[in-house]
Amino acid sequence: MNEPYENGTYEADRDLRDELALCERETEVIEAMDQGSLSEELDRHIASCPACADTHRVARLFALEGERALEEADRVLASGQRLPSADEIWRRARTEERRAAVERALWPIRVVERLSTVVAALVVVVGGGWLGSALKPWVAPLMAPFSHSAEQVSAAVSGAVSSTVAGASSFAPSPGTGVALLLALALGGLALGMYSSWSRQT
Amino acid sequence: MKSLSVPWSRDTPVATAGAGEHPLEAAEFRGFYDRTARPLWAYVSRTAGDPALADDLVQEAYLRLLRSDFVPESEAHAKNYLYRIATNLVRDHFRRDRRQRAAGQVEVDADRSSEPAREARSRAGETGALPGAPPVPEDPGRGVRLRRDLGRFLGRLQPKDRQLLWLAHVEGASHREIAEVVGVEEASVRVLVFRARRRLARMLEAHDLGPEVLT
Repeated sequence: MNEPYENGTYEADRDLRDELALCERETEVIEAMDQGSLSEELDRHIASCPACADTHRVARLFALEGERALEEADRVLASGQRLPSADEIWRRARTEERRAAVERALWPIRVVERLSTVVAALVVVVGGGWLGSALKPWVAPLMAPFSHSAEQVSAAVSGAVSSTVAGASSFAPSPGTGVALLLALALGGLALGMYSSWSRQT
Repeated sequence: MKSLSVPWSRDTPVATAGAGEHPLEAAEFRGFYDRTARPLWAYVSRTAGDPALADDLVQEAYLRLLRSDFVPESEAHAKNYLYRIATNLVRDHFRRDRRQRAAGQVEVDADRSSEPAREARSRAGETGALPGAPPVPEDPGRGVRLRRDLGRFLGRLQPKDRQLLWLAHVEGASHREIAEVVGVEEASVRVLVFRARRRLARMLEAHDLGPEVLT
């Protein structure tokens, strides 16, 4: 750690070093401590350099705390109760992965189901409207006796029959119905396309 | 990175994975776990300051590593990534904790608030010692006092400072590795470590704990 200054960053680092009282010999101090021996010269430097004195003090603390923490970790791992084994973690990860894969495989089906519901609702609304208007000529005469005379009823019935026959022969869906049908088909196609592409991937 | 007694710097390339395959095989993962769990637990327990929490976070870190699509170039790369996950988990924990405290809704886990657990934590003090560790004697010797104090000083540092100093001094990580793990610019690591070190040194100095005492 604490690489020496290099590749043209020396000048910038030197400014920073002056400002923060960094010392180039910090690395040397740490390395010497890792090896377990400080030379007399380095010892004298530490005594006169605040940055290296800090490094020395803190490095010593962390060396002690690091040893303690690793001893504790040994006890934790040896107990076999606080941390699962590598195999257990591996199994758990694989199980979660499989569950996620199933979820991924199922989501297009869920999307299709939801789309079907939307399309069915659209069909009911649009089809219901169209059916209502188509049946109106038939229903109106049946309702007429309650408000008109027999002659008016017979005239109305014959008129309705002829107009319905004429209407049925020239039936064409309204622009709204056409758009709804196209939309439903497009959505259905899109859903099926997504599903088949996803199925191929999984 | 190095650990105190586990030889770590194995730069063996990890097998490259095909489509749909996990980059690590079970046996590889077992070896990786055996080499990393010990230093990782030590790192998390000291930076989170809670050994029980470390148990959970270490497990979660491995699970997230296995769930990710990350393809390591080497074992050292995988280890850095694992440490990064663990560092983020510790950070998230503190963030959540702060939010809960701010909202005045600290919900203490029933188990953790139980009397035995409280006693164990009280015995462990702020040092992050294991709850099962022997209790500190009424009149502890100098060595015991010193150890407890050292743990307390670490506990007073910001989590990020603890992470930086741990990685630099215990793991022996390079500035690049520290930057990768902690999520900061490589260029600023030197200054961040320097400042964290200075804060801790001032605390030690104020309590007359020089390097000659820390033996």
